[in-house]
Amino acid sequence: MKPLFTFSSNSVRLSLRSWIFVLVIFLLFLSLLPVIWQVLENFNPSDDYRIPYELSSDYWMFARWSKYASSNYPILMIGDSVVWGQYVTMQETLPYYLNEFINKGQKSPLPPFSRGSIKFPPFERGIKGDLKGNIFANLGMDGIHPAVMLGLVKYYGKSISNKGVILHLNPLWMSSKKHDLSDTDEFRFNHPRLVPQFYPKIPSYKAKFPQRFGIVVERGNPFSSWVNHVRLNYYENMDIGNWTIQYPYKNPLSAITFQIPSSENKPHSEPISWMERGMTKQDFPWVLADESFQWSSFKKVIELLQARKNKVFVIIGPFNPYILTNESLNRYKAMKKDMENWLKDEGISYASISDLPSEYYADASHPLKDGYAKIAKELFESELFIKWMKGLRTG
Amino acid sequence: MLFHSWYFLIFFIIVYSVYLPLRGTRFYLYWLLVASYFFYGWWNPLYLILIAYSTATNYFAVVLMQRSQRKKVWLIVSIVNSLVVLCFFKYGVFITTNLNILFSSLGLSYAIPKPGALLPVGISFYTFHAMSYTIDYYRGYIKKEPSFVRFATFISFFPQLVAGPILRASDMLPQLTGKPEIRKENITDGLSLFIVGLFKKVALADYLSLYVDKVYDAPSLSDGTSLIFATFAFGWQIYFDFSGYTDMARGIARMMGFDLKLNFNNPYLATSLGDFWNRWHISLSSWFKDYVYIPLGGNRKGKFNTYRNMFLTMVISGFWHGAAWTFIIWGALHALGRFMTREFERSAFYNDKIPKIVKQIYVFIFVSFAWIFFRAQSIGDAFLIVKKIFTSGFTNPAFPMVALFFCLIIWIYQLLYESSLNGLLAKLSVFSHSRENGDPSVGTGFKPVPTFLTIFSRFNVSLKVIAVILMILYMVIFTTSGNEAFIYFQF
Repeated sequence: MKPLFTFSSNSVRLSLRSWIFVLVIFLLFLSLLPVIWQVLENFNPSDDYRIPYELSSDYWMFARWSKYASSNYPILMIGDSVVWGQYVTMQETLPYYLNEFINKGQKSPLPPFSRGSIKFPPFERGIKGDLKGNIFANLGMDGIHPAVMLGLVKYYGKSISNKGVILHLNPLWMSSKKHDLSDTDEFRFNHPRLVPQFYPKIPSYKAKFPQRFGIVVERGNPFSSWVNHVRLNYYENMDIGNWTIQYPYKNPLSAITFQIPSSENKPHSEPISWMERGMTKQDFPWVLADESFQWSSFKKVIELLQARKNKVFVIIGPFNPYILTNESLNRYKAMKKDMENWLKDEGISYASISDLPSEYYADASHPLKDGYAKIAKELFESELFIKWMKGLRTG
Repeated sequence: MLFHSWYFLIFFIIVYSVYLPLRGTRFYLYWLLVASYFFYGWWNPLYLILIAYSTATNYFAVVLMQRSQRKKVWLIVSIVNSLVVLCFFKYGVFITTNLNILFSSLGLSYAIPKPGALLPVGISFYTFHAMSYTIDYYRGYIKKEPSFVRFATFISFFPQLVAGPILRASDMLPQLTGKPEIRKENITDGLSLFIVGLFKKVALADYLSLYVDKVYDAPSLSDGTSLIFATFAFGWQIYFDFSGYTDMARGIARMMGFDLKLNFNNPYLATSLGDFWNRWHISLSSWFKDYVYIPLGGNRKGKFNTYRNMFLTMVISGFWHGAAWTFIIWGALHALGRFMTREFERSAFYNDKIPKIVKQIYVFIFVSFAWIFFRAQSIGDAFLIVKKIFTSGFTNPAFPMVALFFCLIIWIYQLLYESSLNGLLAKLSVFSHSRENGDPSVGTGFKPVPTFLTIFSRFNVSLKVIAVILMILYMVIFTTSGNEAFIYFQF
């Protein structure tokens, strides 16, 4: 006869009915907690809001901000730290200067432009922008290269539809096979949780199958990104164990204040030019546009946004030509030309940013505040950009 | 492949979904064997050669015993073979290092080359499984297993393969002989065991390890108070880690229709050192008792021999845990503790006069002290830790209050679980249930009970459900699966 089974040395032994109950409650938590949290957690984005730098991998926050921005702004600007404004304050970014042109016109510290011919606000019926009447929202996030931009928009930017979207392409991501993710050697890049995990295969991404599988499961589940948000926002990106080791006598529950930190209105990195930084000439090899994984990902972002009925405008650059050797500069120009040709062939509005004065660059791709102001001016002087904006108004 | 990883989840879903329809056929054994070998080979496919060798040699040793009149010869051959393999892979480096130190101190220039550093995961466990089969056959406790596949499945059964509980052939082979029956209790019990085990590992053991590792990895930089806290924390860490693993192993086996024996029974509630070893790693303690202590003579040949046998058993047990002097000292310390307290613990004064809680605290403190040698990186570190503990003044240990809260709550829960309150609650559950169902005969003779107990008993099921939901949510929201390996894998 089979000996009697000794269950355990505790009494946590549930019946089938109890397990079903546990499952139901758990699923309820799983689906409702992120929703309830949005009600509990204060989120009042300030003027010229950008996601706090320390929340740069908080995709739940991006989803929330993009949802808010979609309801309050007619034009959303998506890109990496160039859009976010790595070396500038919140009032010196590209979206800020674009808004300045719209709002202040002649009063703008910038040179006047032909505002009178375009009646921008109210831009869309019922949409007035933020309190200042801004119509451009800064959806930039640090490290968002095209391969991860696709994942970001696909999984966390679902609310971006029927909008005007300015998509920024930073050519730096195509400066070598390594940054293009097309090298076969392993490369630890930003935001691996946003890249395609199985197809298309990324040669330099070497995560193991269970990790990839876990990421796929996580992306389909808002609860996971909410958990990540809680850790980033309240526990300094730590799990509770590590947090309590850091703060042994603090109550971890008291850390949950239901307040999202406001974006610090200061540059994340020192706002000095690339020359003052001591950077020297670089011989970036660049990749061919036709062979570039990042470029093909970028094209997919455009397709995805268009499929969601957005009107897309692409900005290529800026890029610091003074940092490149002559050979590298020629290769860069050839690659850029190929990209422009594709955009032209596809009928996608774009602006290829002209070279800025050398002292306006903070590094290879980030402008300083004067650089952003000049880019804003250049955009408003671009016929394609004005036409695209008029199209938004009438379309 | 760790139980708390995606790898294992995917592995188990595949294995289980094939196992369920196969379990009514004879093919389920083949499937279990393939799954177990895949599970073990996941660490390193080379390990499979070793487990296959261990399986085959022990199986055929019994075949030869059956056919031969000189059973003892084959038993000795089999035991020597198993121990040589274990020693080579687990103790090779330790033995050669110590011999070379000895040669050097004797002025000899010769040095034995060290064997490779390959230490197959779980070798100590499956070697003991296999040895129990040959020894029990020799003793006449079991019959020869006719099926090699069944025997190989017993040795490699994946839920317990790498960290126990250590199975006896007499317990497991009969379960593998029939067709496993899976009722709904198997699933619910299995899940209950698994979740509690997972919580112990992920939420408690890995958490405590953050503090323990920080302090124990640099004892010279740590103060005495931190070392005291880290020592107590390690006691709980290793308990949560190892008992968590065995809970999960038992849960998985239970879901597959197999029952593995209880391996931990609230060891920190032990009231004597002997009691501790009846509650801690029960399958190992009983293995050493049956296959080392009793063959040495047990307690049958006078006090001196009893203590000698006890000492040898404890030291060998320590050495089983790891190839280092720290483990040997740990075993010897427990032996010493038993020497000093065995007679006292049997006295009427100890049993009747000393409050239970005092006994429990004394055992916990002694066991924790011994853990210093178990956890320290070297003997030098261990003595430094002991010295600092007894000589440093009190300083701020910066021990997380949350960790303290968890340990206290669990200790109190275990106290309640083992106290008479548990029995009372059980009675109350019957009482209130029967009264609700209109059975006036039940409950006669009960005194009026305090209201909170009545409420507690009524909400007993609800409390369990809430506890499980909280455990799952805590793990999902607040812990990170860093896939920390289990401490006992190294043994």
